[in-house]
Amino acid sequence: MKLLSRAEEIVLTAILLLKGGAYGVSIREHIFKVTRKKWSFALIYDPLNKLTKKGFITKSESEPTPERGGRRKVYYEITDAGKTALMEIKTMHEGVWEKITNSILETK
Amino acid sequence: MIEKSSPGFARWLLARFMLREEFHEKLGDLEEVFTMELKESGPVRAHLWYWGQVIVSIPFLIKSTIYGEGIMIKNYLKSTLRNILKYKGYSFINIFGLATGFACCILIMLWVQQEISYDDFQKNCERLYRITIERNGHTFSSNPWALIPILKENYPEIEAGSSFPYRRLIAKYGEKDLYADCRMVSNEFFEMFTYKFLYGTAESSLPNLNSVVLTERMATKLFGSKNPLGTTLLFDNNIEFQVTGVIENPPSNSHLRFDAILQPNLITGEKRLTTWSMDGPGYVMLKKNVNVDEVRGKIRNTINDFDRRNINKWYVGLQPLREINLYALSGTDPILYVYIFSSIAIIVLLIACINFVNLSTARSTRRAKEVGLRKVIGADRKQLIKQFMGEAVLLTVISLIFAVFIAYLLLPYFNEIAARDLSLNFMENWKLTAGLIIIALITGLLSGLYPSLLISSFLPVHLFKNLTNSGSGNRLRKLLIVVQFVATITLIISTMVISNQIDYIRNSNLGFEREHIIVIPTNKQLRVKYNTIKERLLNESSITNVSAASQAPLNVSACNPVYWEGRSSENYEIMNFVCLDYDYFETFEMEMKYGRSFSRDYASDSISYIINEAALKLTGYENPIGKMFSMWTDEASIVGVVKDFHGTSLHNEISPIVFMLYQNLPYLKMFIKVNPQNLSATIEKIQSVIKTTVPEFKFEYSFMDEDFNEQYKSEMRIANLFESFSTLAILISCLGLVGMVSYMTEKRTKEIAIRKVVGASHSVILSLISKEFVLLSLFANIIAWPIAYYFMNAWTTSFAYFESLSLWTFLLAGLIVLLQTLLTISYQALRAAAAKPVDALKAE
Repeated sequence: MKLLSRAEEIVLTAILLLKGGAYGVSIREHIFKVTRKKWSFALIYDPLNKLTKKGFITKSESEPTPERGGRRKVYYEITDAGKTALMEIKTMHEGVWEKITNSILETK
Repeated sequence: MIEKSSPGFARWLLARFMLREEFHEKLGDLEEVFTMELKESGPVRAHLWYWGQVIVSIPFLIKSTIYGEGIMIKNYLKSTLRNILKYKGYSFINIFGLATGFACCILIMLWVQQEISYDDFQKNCERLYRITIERNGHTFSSNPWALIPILKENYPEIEAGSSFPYRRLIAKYGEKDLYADCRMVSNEFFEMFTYKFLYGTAESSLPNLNSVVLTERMATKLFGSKNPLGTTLLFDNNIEFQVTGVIENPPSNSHLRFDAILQPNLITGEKRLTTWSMDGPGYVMLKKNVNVDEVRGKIRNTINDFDRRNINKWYVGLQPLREINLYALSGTDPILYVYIFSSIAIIVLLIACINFVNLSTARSTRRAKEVGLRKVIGADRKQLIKQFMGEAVLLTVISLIFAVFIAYLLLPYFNEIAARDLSLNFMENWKLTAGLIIIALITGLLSGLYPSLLISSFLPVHLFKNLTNSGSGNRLRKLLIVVQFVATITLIISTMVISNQIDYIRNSNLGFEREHIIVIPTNKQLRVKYNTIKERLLNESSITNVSAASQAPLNVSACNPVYWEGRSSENYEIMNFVCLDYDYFETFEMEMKYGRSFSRDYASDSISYIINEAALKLTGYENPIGKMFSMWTDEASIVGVVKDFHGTSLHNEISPIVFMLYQNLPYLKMFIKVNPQNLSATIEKIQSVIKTTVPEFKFEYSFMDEDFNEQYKSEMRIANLFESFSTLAILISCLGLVGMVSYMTEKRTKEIAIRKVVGASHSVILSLISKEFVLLSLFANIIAWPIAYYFMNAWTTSFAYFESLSLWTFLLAGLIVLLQTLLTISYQALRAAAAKPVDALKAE
C-alpha cells in the first residue's frame, strides 16, 4: 500500500486531533500551531481531496453561518481506515527515527 | 478605496474552476479567514492575502478540473462520435460543408497574403517610392530620363534614385541566344533594392557602363551551372556587356520583373538620358525619417520648373512601393479584388456555418433523449452547453483537417486559374496557420453557441414526452436560410455580371481588326531591312498586308504636345501619337471618317498627319482636311481622320491620337495580316524570309488577338476565380438545403401520412413541403438585388466602356436559385409524398 504523503499525514493528524471540529479554517490554524508555517488553502485542499478519495476521511456539512458569507462549512472526520493508515506511518516513523538522536544530528 | 468584502473578480475566477458543492466549502473557508484578517491586519493585507490564496490555488484547481472532467470528456467524445456515425448524411453535410468552406478560406488567405505582401521583402520598402506623373487628370508611371538626376540634385531628402525602363534585348553568349527582359537602371539600383547575390556583391554590382547583373534563371539558361562572373555577353548582336553579378530569382510577390539589370547609356545612347523623353518608370529612395508629404509638396512642380519647353501641366508624385500592387494608377484598384475575395471567403464560411447551425438546431430533438437523461442524472445547463460547444468545436477541427487535404488537392488548379505559384506550407507560414486555427475556433464557437443554448434549455419532462417544440428555433432558422439565399443570389448575380462584362470586352468592336494579325517586335538590324522584308513578304500569297508602327493599336501610350491652326505653341494639347508605315490602316481595316489614308501616290504624305475622331473633336475643326497641324515642330496638313478605335484598355476612354509616317524609330513592331488557312506554314515562311534577310535576328511573334486577351487576363482570372468560388458556395448551400428538407419531411412524416389518408394528392404534399423554402428564396431576392446592384455597379463603372446591368441578370439569378431550391427539395419531397402512409402511422 502506498504511504501517506507528508502533507496528507499532517492534515490527517490535524483532523484526528480536532475531533469533529475539523474544517478548512480550523485545520489551517492547527497546522499553523504545529508547524509555525502559514499554509495556503490550496495546500490543504489538495491533501483533503486525496484523503477523501482514499476513504481516510469523510465529509459532513453544517448550517451556513454569516461570517462565512452565508456559506456552509464542511466538517471532516477521520475513518477507521484513516486511523490504520496513521498507525502504519507512525510505526514506520518510529522505526526510521529509532537510532537517530539529537546528538548525531548536531552540526559542528 | 478597498472594499470591506472579498474581491469579486478573484471569487469569480475561483468559481470558474470549481464544482458547486466544492465552491461553497472552499469559498466559505476563504471568506472566514478573510474576515479575520480584515479585523487583524486591515483591508489591504486581507485583500492581498485573498488574492495570494487564489493565485496559489490555480495550479491545483486546473489539475483537479482536468482530472474531474477527463471522464466526462471521454463520455462526450464517445457520444459525439456515435452521433457522427449514426447520422452519416448530416455529419457529411456538416463536415464536408465546413471543410470546403475552410479550404476556400485557406486558398483565399494564401492569395490575399501574397497580394498584400508585394515587395515587402525589400529591406528599404518603407522608403522606396515610384515616381508618378499626373497630366490632364490621369496619372502615369512613365517618367522622363532627366527627372531623377534633377530630383537628386535639388532635394537632399532623396537619397538615391533609379530609372527602370524596359527593353527586350537579345542576349547572346557563344551559340546561345535568347530574349532577355532588361531593365535600364542607375548604378544606385542595388543600393535601393535589396536582392540576394549568388555571384558578386551588391556594392560591386554595376561598376561600369557595360556591367550587367543577371537573375539566376537567365544565368542558368545562358551558362548552365558555371560561374558566369566576368563573362562577356553580346546584347542585340553589337553591344558587349560583362556579367558582374547573379542574383537569386526575385520572389513572385514582387512587381519588379526582369531577367537582366544594366545601365542604359550603351543601349539608348548618352544623349537620350538627359532629355525629357519617357521610356519607363523610375524609383527613388528617401532618406530615413523624412516626411513624405513634405517631399511630395516640394517636388510636385519639378518638371514645370525645369523643363525648358514649359509644359505646365505635369505634376510629379510619389507612390509607395508597397502600394503599387494594390492601387492602380488608372482603372480598378486590385485591392478591390482583395476585398472581394476576402468577402467571398467569409460568405462561403458563413453559408457552411449556417448549415451547421440549422442542422444542429433542427436535429436537436434527435438528441433530446440524451440531453434529458443527462439532465436527470444531474448534468447542469453549464455542463450541457460545454458539451455541445465542445462538439461543435470538435466538428470544426475535423473539418479543418479535411480542409487541409482539400486545399492541397485544389491548390494546383487554383494556381492555374489565378496564375500564381502559391505553395502551402503550414510550418513555415505560421501566420496562415494561426489565422486558420483562430477562424476555426471562432467558427466552432459561433456555430455551436445557438444550438447548445437551445438544446440545454429543454426541460427533461418535455423531452421524454416528445413535447419538444423546435418552433423556438424556427424563426432563427428561417432567418438563416434567408441569409444563405441572399448570399447565394448575390454571388450568382456578381458572377454573371463579371463574366458578361468580360465577354463584352472580348467581343466588343474595337474599331479595328485583330484576327489573323501576327505581331513581330523588331530591332535595329531588322528595321534597316524592313522595306526589303516587306516586299518579299507581300510576294507570298498567304500574306495580305504588311505594316509597321511604333505601337500596336492595342496600347497606344506615347504622347506629345501638339497644336494647330488657331492655337499658339504655348497653348498646346497633349495627344497620343503613333509613328507608322504605309498600309497601317489597311492592315487593321480601320475606316476613314474624312479624307484618306497615307498613300505612296502623294509625295507630301511623308510629312502630313492623320488624326482620330477624338483628336478632331479637340481641334474643333468642321472640315479638317488640309488644315495645318503641328507636332514636335513639324507643321503639316491633316490628310485624313480615322474613325475612333479603342487604343487602350476599355477601362479608359478613347484618347486623341495623331498618326504620322515615320519609320526611323529605334523600336518598331511589324504587323502582318495573314490568311487564316494553313497558319503554321505561313509563319514558317515569314520566319524563313526574315532569316534569309537578317540572319542574326531572333524571330519571335505573337498574335494580335492573343495580345488583346492578355490585356484583360487579370479580369479574366478574377472572373474564373469568382465562378469557381461561387460554384462552391452554391454547392454548400445546396447541401444545407438537402439536410434541412430531409429533416423537415422526416419530422412531418406522420402529418403527411394523415393528409394522404384523408385524400391529399402528391402535388398538395409537394407544395406543402416546398412552399416555405420557395417563399424564403423569393423573399431573399428582395434583399440580395440591392446589395448585388451596389457592388456590381461600382465594378462595371470602373470600365469606361461597360455593359450596363440589366434586370434580366437579376431575374435570372433569382430564377436559378428558385430552380436550385426546387430541384434540391423535389427528391425528398417526392419521396415523402410517395411513401406509404401505413409505414408512417403504424409506428405508434
